[in-house]
Amino acid sequence: MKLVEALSLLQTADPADLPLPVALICGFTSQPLLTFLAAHMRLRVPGRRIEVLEGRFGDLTGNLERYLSAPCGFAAMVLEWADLDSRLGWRQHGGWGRARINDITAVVERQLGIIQGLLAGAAQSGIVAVALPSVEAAPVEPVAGWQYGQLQSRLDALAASFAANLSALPHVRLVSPSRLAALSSLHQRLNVKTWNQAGFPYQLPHADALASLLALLLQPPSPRKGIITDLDNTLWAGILGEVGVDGVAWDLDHHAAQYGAYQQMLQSLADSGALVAVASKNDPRLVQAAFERTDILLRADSVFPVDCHWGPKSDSVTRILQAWNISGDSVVFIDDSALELAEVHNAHPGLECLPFETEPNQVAALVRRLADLFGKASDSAEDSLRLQSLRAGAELRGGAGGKVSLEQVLASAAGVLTIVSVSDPPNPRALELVNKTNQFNLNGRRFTEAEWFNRLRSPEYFVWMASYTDRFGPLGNISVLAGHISEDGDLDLDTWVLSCRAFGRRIEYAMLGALFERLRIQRIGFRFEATERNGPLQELLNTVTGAPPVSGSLLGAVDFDQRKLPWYMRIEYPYG
Amino acid sequence: MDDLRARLIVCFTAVFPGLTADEAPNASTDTLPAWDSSNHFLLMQTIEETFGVQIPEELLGEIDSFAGFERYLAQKSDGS
Repeated sequence: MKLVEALSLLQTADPADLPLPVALICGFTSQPLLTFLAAHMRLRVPGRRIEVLEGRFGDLTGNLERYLSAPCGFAAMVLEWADLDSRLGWRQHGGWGRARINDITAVVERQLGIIQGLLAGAAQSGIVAVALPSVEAAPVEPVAGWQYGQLQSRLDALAASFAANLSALPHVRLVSPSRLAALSSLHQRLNVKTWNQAGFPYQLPHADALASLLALLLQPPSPRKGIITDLDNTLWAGILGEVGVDGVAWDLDHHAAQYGAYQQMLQSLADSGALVAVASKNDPRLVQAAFERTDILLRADSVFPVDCHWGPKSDSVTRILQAWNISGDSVVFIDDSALELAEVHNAHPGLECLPFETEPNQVAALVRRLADLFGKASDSAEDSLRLQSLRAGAELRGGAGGKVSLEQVLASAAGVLTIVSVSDPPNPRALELVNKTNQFNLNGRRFTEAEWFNRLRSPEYFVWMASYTDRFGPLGNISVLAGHISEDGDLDLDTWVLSCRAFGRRIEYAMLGALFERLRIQRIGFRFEATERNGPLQELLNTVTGAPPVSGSLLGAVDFDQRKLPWYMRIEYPYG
Repeated sequence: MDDLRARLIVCFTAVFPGLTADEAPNASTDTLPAWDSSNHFLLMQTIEETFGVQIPEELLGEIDSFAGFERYLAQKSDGS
């Protein structure tokens, strides 16, 4: 992005848009980095007016302290060596030479220790994105440019230790030095002219690259949920139907190590909660046998469903999406055949179709792309339950489709719905669920972390999170609702999501019943807004209110009692 | 309107949000209160990037109007 483009983009903000404050914490002149940061945040959070708050020139730790005393929820902290010791920059002249190495490293270590201590004690401050020093320190030590000198190596060791300590803090996210290097060459970052003139140390393309990564850390894209993979010449080298179970390969001995790397990546993503399914034109018995090989790196129990037949791949994708109960736009389809990719893309245009190129470097690039698409800052307990829940759901639907009625299946499921308040301490799973749920979502509203935490601090609001388990297995946390009691005594419900994994169990009815019972209210007002995808929520409101939902739809306790479907689960409130 | 002037107007209106394209050619540090040192630096950076030039340090403080930038950029494009 050019600076003029960033400035123009910021002018497109509507003054009536809700402001979104972002603090830029650094020791140098923050213009034009803050312009780029605001522009990239605007791209990541459309519809919001970004307000970047800047600190004082030359006072990095003071700026951090001031921010932490009144955090706004989002902060980007950008370090440079000269902010830790001015002798490492070009503007001030405190003397260079080997004699100063020990003193400079001691000062830098002390400064980093202060910053680390401040950040470690600020867990309630919201997300802080941190960029380590990204321009080379001035040549204090007189060594040739091709030698990694004592000073620079000691500084880098201090930065690495600082980063390792910060990376363990859940509210701190670090800019990846290698991704920054891919976007901005190390030797094209420093601008001594503007540093001397105005205290701004960067070339503009570097400022743009840095701001883009900081914005990604502060407002990351929602991770994709599922991968549908082909098998032959994709998950393994060879055509299973031709070479047999022992003929397909994914190891170095068979010049097929790139397939092993792809399998490892899929297993790693599955372990982190991504759904992995197979769509392959193959003999199902052979596929099952291949997955029973002891050396396979993607375990059979991590793959669901496996859809093998000789019909169109798009049909497999349709069935898999139904089994997962998610839409195609959160799914990636991978195949080595351009024809299959085109056929699936035509039938499912929202699905991202990625080719599996067998050349090892291209596989490595694909694996890194998958890390970007599916990567998360950390795993939640629900991530490990997701696949188990889906299998249980399929079992439940199977039972309902057979001779046993749905009522009998639900009645014998021994379900337990546990409802807790998540205002204090804040539970990150609640926000995650709100922001990624589409189908059963009251209005589709998304929150930044800062907004969500501010809301939790508000005394008049309550936020409930529900988890569920039954004899088919635990589903984990599956629903969040939030609102407040209005002056006329009605419940004003403005947030309600239910994970699609939990559909079909009447949990939504149980939650409405819990609201009436626990809050002793007579009416619930819904801050409903139709979205392209919240059909299941609309269907429920239509059923219980007796009319298509509109913004402000009301549900009375008497009407609910008359129209509700029975639920069979026990509801528990462990904290009263 | 020539291309140089049009691009320069884009730079000015991007840095100074309240400034219209008609007003920009008359802008100077005297007429535009928002033209402070911070915006001066931002304007310099925007112009340097847009036109692919490096304005010499000795001129940085001297150019204080749209017309001044226009003259400087016209000279650069003439190769003088």
